[in-house]
Amino acid sequence: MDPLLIESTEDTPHILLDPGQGKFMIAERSWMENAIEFYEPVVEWLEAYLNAPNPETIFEFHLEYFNTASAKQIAKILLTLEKYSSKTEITIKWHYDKHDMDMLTSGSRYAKLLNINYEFIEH
Amino acid sequence: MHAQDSHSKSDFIYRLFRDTSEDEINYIYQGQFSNSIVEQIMALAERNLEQTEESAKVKKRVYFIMIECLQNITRYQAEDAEQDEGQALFVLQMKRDKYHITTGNIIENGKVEPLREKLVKVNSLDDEQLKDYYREILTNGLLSEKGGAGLGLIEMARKSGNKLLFDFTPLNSTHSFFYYQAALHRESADPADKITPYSLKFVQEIHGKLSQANISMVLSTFFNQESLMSLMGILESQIRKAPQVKKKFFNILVEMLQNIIHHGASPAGKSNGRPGVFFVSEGPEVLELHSGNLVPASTRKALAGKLDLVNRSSLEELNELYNEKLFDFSSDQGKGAGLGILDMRIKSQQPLAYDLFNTDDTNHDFFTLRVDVKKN
Repeated sequence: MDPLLIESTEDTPHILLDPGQGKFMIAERSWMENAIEFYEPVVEWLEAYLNAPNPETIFEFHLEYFNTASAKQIAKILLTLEKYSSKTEITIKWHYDKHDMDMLTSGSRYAKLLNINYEFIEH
Repeated sequence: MHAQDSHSKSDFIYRLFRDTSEDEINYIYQGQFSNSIVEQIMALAERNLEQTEESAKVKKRVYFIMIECLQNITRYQAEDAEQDEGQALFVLQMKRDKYHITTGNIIENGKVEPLREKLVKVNSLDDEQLKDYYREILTNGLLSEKGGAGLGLIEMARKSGNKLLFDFTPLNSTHSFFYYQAALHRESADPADKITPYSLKFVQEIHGKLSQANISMVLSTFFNQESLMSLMGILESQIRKAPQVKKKFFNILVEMLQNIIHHGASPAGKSNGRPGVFFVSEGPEVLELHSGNLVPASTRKALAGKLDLVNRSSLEELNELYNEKLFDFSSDQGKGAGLGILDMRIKSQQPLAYDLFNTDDTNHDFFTLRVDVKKN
């Protein structure tokens, strides 16, 4: 499957989804005005990948900050991963800055509400 | 006491909004001027000028005057380093027919009269005479001990094509506050339309209010994602706080302004953004973010109800509400997530202070919001 690469801008994140390299990552900042539109192709790509996934999928969130509109789309991505967790062993790596307790709180919220393996990585 | 104070600030926002809602931008900053702040102010002007159909000539003149003004401030700061926090002022206003650029700084009373004389002299000359005067000063080397000789003033008067407005407000027995303003007509403007002292009076009045309320920056403009980016850039260099405070501040800022962009109202015919006012003030323990914008009068009750609910909920209840909404995709039609108010309330851990005002237009109410971020 072709990887999905989206370069970051001032208000949109860097996204790399590459099954060949086993890399799945959303990073930097996500505070665009229209998050639904932005994340739609990402969710579509994921759905297609999860039909024939790698045995293991390590999905990394390395965000500096994101708005609530993005929070909801991240929830959608995580739900999609959860739905297919019988087909691939999923691990979420949630990176956060040690000063940024809000980022840790956001990650813990998802971890609590979803049934996926969640790892927190402090920087 | 606190509620009273908050109300007087929302009153101030509303008056400011009424006086500036026709303008493309009103940006006011007072405080210390670092190089990065100067850079971001220039970037803000650039972004806004790009959107206008002004000729390159007019744009260049605006830049020239802005740079001259900002350099005067930084030069003054350097000279008066031992002076107690030389609180300087910079104001950029892009109105329908004119641009106004105002600076203000503290000067010693002994320098007031010589400066006044220079300004009066510059204002008494027409363009040809200004050219001659400039040459005369250059060739005769009549440089003042400050190195300025008013060359900058002459250049500014020539570039602006208008008389410079200025004023001195005595502060105490040793110092005064010096204001001056350069105005440029936009290309589309009627050149016969004279500059009135009112434009400087307006700035002085606002400046007085800002100092009383400890407000360091004000932006009144049409809010859209572009202007939010400009504001982020500017505040990045203006907010000098610990990283965790800064991050919380930016999170709340984005939610606050994207709420205006998604839910704010715009009078007919204005589609490039939602008119609104944003400012930051600093208390002993908190940074306060204030916003003001129009909302459809029909949504007033629902909005007040939502805020009252959020304000009286416990942290636990707030988190439950948040979780419910986070995974509720049934209302995924609009651009917003419906989470903004909850998020601000949770991150701030303080009640959200708000006010609603009737406006002259029965279809629209004016909504002000204040969110506090703890400094420690």
